[in-house]
Amino acid sequence: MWLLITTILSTAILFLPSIVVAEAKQDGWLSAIFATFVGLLVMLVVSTLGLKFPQQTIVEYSEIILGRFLGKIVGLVFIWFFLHMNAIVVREFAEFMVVSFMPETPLIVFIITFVLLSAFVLRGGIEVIARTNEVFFPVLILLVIIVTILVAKDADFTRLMPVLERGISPVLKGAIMPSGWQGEIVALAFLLPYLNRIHEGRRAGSLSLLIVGFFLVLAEVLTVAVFGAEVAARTMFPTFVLVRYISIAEFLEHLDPFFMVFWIGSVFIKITLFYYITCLAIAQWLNLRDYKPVTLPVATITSALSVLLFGNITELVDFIAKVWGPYALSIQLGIPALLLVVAMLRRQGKR
Amino acid sequence: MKKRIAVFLILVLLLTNSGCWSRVEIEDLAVVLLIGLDKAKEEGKVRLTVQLARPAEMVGGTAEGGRSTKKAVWVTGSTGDSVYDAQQNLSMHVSREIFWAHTRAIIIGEELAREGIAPVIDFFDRRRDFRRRIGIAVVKGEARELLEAEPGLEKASGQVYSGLLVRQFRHSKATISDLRDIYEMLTSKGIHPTTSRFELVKLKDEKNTKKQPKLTGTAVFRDDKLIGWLDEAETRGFLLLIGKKVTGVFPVKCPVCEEKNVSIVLTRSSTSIKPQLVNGELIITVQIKAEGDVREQMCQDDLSRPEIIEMLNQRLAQAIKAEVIAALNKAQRNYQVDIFGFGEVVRRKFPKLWQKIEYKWDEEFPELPVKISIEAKIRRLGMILEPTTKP
Repeated sequence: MWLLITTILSTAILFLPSIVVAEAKQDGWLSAIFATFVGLLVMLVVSTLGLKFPQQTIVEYSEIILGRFLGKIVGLVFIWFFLHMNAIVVREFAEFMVVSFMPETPLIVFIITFVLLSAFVLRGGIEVIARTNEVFFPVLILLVIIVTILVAKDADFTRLMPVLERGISPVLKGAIMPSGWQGEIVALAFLLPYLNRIHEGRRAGSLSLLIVGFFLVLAEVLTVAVFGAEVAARTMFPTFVLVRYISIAEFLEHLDPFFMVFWIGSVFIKITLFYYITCLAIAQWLNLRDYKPVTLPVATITSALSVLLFGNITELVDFIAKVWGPYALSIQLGIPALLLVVAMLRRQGKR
Repeated sequence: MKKRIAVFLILVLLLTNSGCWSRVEIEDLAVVLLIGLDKAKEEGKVRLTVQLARPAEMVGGTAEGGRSTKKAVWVTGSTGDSVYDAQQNLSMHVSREIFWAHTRAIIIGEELAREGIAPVIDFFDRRRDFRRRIGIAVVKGEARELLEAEPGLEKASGQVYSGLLVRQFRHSKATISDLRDIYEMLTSKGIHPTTSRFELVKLKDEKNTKKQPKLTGTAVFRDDKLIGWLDEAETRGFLLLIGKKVTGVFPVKCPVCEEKNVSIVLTRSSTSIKPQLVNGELIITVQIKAEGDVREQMCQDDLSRPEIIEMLNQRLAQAIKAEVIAALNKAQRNYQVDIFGFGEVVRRKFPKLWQKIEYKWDEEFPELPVKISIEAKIRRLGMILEPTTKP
C-alpha cells in the first residue's frame, strides 16, 4: 500500500496543482476529490479482475479472456503504456531538477543516472523496491505534514472563495488530469498476484487512493490559500515555491533542499516500480521465465524516449494538461472494464 | 580479486564524483543583500544596483565609531536593456558568481516605479533563486542612493532593511509587501498594489550629516504604475482597514485637562469587511474592533474610573476612525484606486455581480459607499492606577 501511495503522490504533488488550478481556479480541491472517485472506480475494476484470476497479472489473464490474439494486443498496449509513462515521469523529473536546481546540467545526465540506478535496484525483485520505499515513505508524509504546518500562517483560506465561481464544468474539466494520475492505481493489475494476501489488495488500493486524494486536496488548498488562484495557476511548480516561501521568524528558511531529497527518493521509487512492471509485462508477453534479461534494453529505450518525446518544457506541460488525462484513463479504466465485462459474460475465472 | 577491483572502482568514483555540474564553491560567491532598480540615464535602459556582502567585514555586531577601514558591503551596479541584461553586465566587473538567494529586499526607484514595475518584476519570478518572501519597496528618489547609504547601527544596510521591515509592527506606520503579495495584487482585478516606502532622511539629532534610510508610509499604485503615497497616519488607517495587525500609539485628549494627551497603544485589532446589497445598491460595511492599553499620560487626571475609561474609549474610536477615513478618502478621492481589496471581497461574496461590474470597478470604486463602525476598548492601564506624579 505504501508503495502505491509513494508512486502516485510523488509526481502528482509537484506538477498537478498548477495545471488543475489553471482550469478550475480556486475550486481545484474539488477536482481532486472527483479524481479520487475515478481512481476508486479503476481500482474496483482491476481488483475484481484480480480476484477472478488470482496468481495472474493482467497480461496473462487477458489472453484467457479475449483469446490469444486480442489478449496479446492488450498486453502490448499495457507494455507500451507503462514504458511511455515511465519515460514521461523520468523526463518530468529531469526537467524539474534542471529548472529548479542545476540549470547547466544537461537533461540526459539526470535521465541516465536515474534509469541505471533503477535498473540496478529492480534486479532485486519487487520486495527490494517495497523495502526501499519503506525508508522514504514515512519521511515524505512527515515532510508534507510539516510543510503544511509551517505554511499555515501564510494561508488565507478566504482565497478559496467563492466556491464554484464559474459553475461545475471547470471543476470537471480540471478533474480529468488528476484522474489520470489516480488511475495509475492500475499498476495494481500487475502487483496483485504477488501479494501474500490477495484480498488485502482491494483494501490497500482504496486506502492508498484516499490518502493520495487527501494530500492532493491539501496541496490544492494550500497553494491557492497562500498564493491566490491566479498566481498559482501561472506558477510552474507551486508546491515547490510553497516550500521555498516558508520562513519562521527569519530563522527557518531555505527548506527546499530537505524537501528535495525525499521527493527525489519517492520519484525514484515510482520510476523503479513502473520500470519493473514494464519488464515484467514484456517477460510475460514473451513467455520468458524471468524478467531480468529485459532490464537493460528497457533502460535504453526509456532513456531515449525520455529525451525524444518532448522538444521543450511547454510541450511536456501541454501534453500532461491536455492529452494525458483522456489517454491514460482509456487505458487504465477502459481496457480493464472491457476485460471485466467480457470475463463476466463468459463466466470465466474464480467465483 | 574481483572484490579488490570493485573496491578500487568505488574509491575512484567517490573521489572524482564529489561534486556536480552546477556547483559553485562558497568563496566564489558574491552574495547579494539588496537590489535596487532605477531608470538609467539613457533612454529605455534600466540601472541595476546591488549591495554585495563582504562577509569578513561583517563580523561583529555594530559599526565602529569612525574607524571603519573597510566597508562591510560593496555597492555596485550596471546598466542594461533589461534587468537580466544589466545582471549579465554586472559580471563584467564583479569577479565572483553572483548569488541572489540571500537577497532581503528589492528597492525600486521612484521614477522607474512611475513608469511601471511589471516589466522589471518578471525577472524575479521566473528565476529559481528568488524566494517570494523578499520584500519590495519604493524609495522616494533613487534606489542607488538608498543602497549606498551608510547605516548608523548595522554593518550593512541590507540588515537595516530587514531589521526595519521586521520591526514595522512597532509603529505600523508603513506597509509591508513581499513578492507574493505583489504578484497577487498585480494579477487580481479587485485590488491595486501597495508597497512599502523608503526615504533617505537627515536625522536631525545626528552629528554626522549622512542620510539614513527611513521606512515610512505606503506607495500606492494603479495597476503597476506608482501614482502616489499615503503618509504615516493614512498608512495606519489603511492597515487597520485591511485587517493587518496594527499597533502603535494613538494620542487621545485627556478627559479633564484637555490640552494634554493620553497615549494609548493598540494591542489587538480585527477588521471585518462585508459587502452588502441594500436596495440593489452595493455598500461595503467595515467593522473594526480594537483593544488598547494606556501606556502614558501627560496630564495628571485620574483615569482609573470606568466612566473615564468609557470616555477614552469613545475618543480612541474617533481617533481611529479619523485615520481610517483619511486613508479611505485618499484612495477614493485623490487616487481613485481600490487598494483595500473591496473588489476581491465583492467577488468572493457576490460572484455573479462581480462578473458584471469588474471591468468598470475603477469607476465604481470612488463612488462606493463605505460604512465604517469602530469599537474600541481600553483594557489596562499599565502598572499604576492614579498617576504617581500627582501631588
